[in-house]
Amino acid sequence: MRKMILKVSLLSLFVLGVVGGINFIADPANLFGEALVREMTTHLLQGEIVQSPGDYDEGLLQKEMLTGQEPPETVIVGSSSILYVPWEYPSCYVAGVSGAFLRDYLAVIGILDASDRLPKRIVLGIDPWILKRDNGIGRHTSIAGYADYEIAQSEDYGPKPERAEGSQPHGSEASHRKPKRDGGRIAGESAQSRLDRVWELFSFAYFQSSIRFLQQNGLAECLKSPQERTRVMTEEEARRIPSLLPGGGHTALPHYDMAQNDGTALSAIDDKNLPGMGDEFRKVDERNRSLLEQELAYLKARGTEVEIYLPTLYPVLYEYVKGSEDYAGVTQTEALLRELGKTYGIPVHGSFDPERSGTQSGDFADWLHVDGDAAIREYQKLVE
Amino acid sequence: MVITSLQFLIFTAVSLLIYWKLPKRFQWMLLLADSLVFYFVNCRAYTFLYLIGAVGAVYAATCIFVRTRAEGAGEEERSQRARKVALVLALLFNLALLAILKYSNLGIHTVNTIAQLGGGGRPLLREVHFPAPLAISFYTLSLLSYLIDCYWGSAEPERNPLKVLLFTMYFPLMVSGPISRYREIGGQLFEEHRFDYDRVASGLRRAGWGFAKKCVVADRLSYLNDQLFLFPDIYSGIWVLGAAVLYSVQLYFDFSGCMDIVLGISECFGIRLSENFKAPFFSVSIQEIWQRWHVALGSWLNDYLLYPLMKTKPMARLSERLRKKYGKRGRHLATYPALLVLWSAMGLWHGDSWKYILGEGWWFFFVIVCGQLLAPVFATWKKKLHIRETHPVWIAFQRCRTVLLFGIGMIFFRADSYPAALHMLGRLFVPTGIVSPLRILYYAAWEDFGGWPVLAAVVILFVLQMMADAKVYRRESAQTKVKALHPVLRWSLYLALIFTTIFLGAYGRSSFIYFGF
Repeated sequence: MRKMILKVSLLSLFVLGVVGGINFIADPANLFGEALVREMTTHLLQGEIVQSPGDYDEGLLQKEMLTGQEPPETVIVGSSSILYVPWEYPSCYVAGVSGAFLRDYLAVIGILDASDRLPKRIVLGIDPWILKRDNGIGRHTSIAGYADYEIAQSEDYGPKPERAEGSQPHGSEASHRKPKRDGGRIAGESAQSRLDRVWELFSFAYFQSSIRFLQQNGLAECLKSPQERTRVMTEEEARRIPSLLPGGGHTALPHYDMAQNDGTALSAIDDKNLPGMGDEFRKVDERNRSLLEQELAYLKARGTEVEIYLPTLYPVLYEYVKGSEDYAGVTQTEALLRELGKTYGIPVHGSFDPERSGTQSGDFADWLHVDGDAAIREYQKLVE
Repeated sequence: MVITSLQFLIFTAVSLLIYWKLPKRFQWMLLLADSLVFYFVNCRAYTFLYLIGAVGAVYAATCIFVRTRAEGAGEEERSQRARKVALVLALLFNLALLAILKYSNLGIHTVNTIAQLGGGGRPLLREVHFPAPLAISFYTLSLLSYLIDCYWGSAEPERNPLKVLLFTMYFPLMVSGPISRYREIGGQLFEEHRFDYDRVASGLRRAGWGFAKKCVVADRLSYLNDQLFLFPDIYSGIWVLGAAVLYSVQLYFDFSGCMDIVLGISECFGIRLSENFKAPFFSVSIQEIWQRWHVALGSWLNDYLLYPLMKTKPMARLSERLRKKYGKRGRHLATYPALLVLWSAMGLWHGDSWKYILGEGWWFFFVIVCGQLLAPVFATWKKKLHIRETHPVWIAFQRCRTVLLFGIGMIFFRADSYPAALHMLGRLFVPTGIVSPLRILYYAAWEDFGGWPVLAAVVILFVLQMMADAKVYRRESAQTKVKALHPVLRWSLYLALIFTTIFLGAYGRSSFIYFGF
């Protein structure tokens, strides 16, 4: 038996060593690139524009940015749909993380709250799928602890959440696990995140990306220091190359051909795999609704003005969603947000419905994002 | 915890380490603990109540069997009646649970479709969504076989309910079977096992091969098949046949890959499960391919459905009547209704949709009409054309024909619904060129598929599997060949297989296809 254990252990060590080593060196998504994110933050906080490294820990970047500067008057919270919008608030920071789900929103607000930096105004750019049951989780694990903190902070506000029949509690939001605040940092905030990263170090899918990355960029590029890898851009360069702006936003997305956008949207409909919703979003999840309402009530009670922005859904998608029982949750979400707006005196800008917001296919940069100027137009146009 | 994940590998490795270090009398308890962990990680906790209910009903029935057997000779008739009642109640309870949890929507859809045909606008009934326990289709059949075997006296009822629970939910079986018989694995599960280096090594080799089959071949081919089945209007004519065969290959590598992993891991625990595949692509008829594909399901249905059905009084009467009228052929005719029930049950077992029953109907047609009714006509043709049954070209032709017909039936399994399957079959008769669809397939799926390196790996693994199957066909073992290799060559092969799987496999793609059945 010892012989077997020795052989299997050696083989496993060898295989996992190769996989882990290559993943760590190539690290195409910058999972182990905390130093790179910190280097980027240093430049951004100095008012410089930085080239986007593609994939990086967006949650960590927001944490560093939000805690590293004096809070602006307005903070825009949301997913990538708010990142490309040239917001016109005089003192504003855009705290968007791609593909944000409900707990990511709460985490970003939690970062501000934990360091007593809640701004005068928070604009929530809410995607249509945020109240789907499966989307109560957070995707940005490095700031997950802040979501727990914020949920614990807001649990005494708004209506008490009702557990839907058969539903599981989301994450670690139970009050008995209320995270402790220590000088603006949340105790134990990154334990899960670190574990996930260690797990990812041995991921075979990540190994495949690492090999491709090594083939494309060479070993020398991967071995560069974070200082060497962070590229500060001029405004001229930033118009051509995807970059991060000091105000939190990103430079405008390239405009794709409308036919191509239509094709991609139709293909998603054919596959019945819509962004953020997958194959169904039949109804709003009661638990997620309660969490959102609690947060709105809490922010109001803390004296923060809240505004809601509903980014328009691509017309082909909305047309399909509107007529499908399987995606009835989208229209329910809009109706509910408008109702919450009335209850708490929160202005609701825009609409998921392109007809209502006056947005057309040509106003979209790609099939998921409205072009920045069109987004500002729809934000200003429709307020209820 | 998907069984192709790193988490599962670590879970199994830790279990094995504890298993072989533990005092032998506790080994089965560890397996039960592992199975419970595996269940609760993969399934909602409250569905465990269904499983406990199913096991409880069977356990109660077998206790009645034991008690009534102990009663005196004068009580024979009353005991027999009590045993029968216990059997029927336990059977009904388990079948009802399976029907409600798995087939409710089939009934609802059927009622709605009939109502809408009659002119109704809105659906009469709403769909229901019951979360079912893990592997309910597999463990229900295993449990029922145990119950019936105990009733027939061919298996000894187990007194310890925890052991019955382990038999039901032994964790390697909770993925996709194979459907196991108590008389085959019951003893193995509970007996004390001594560490056997060769057995564990053989199990690891087999599991490794299964991972490669699943991740490299099945999951990579799924990218091509998704495209082919999504757009039958583009991929018409000969492309439909291509899709049918390609899907059969995907399904074979998916399911048999899963079986290799399951049987391999089980072997590491010293428990030998029965084989579920016996070189199906070497079959020369549809009847034979179903004797070699998902063997456990076929033999279960034969033993517990077909043969008992044939022994019923109405069937015996029908058989006798037909024998008197048509002689020896009449006896065969009497088996057809029972076979129809068997094939329908086989279709129904696969899922809550009529498409499965239609798919099985396609094969049933070939088994009965071509395999039996028209057999004399074909025999005459063969004689006239001087075809020798044992000629290699004739055998090769039969094998290709069988795979093709089998694949066409599989279209029903892969398509979203039976109208979609029928539409796809209709497109078979619409001629399409080769180049234009090939170009579209290239742009749509080639990159996801993985390009030339993956194609090369898929072809090599396919050829190796066929070589191994050829050995199985001749009742030999491919493992002995590998074991006999020089250690340097053997270890090079292992490393090549591991890194091919890691580098070229598709991860996070899907669960096993049969997991959904």
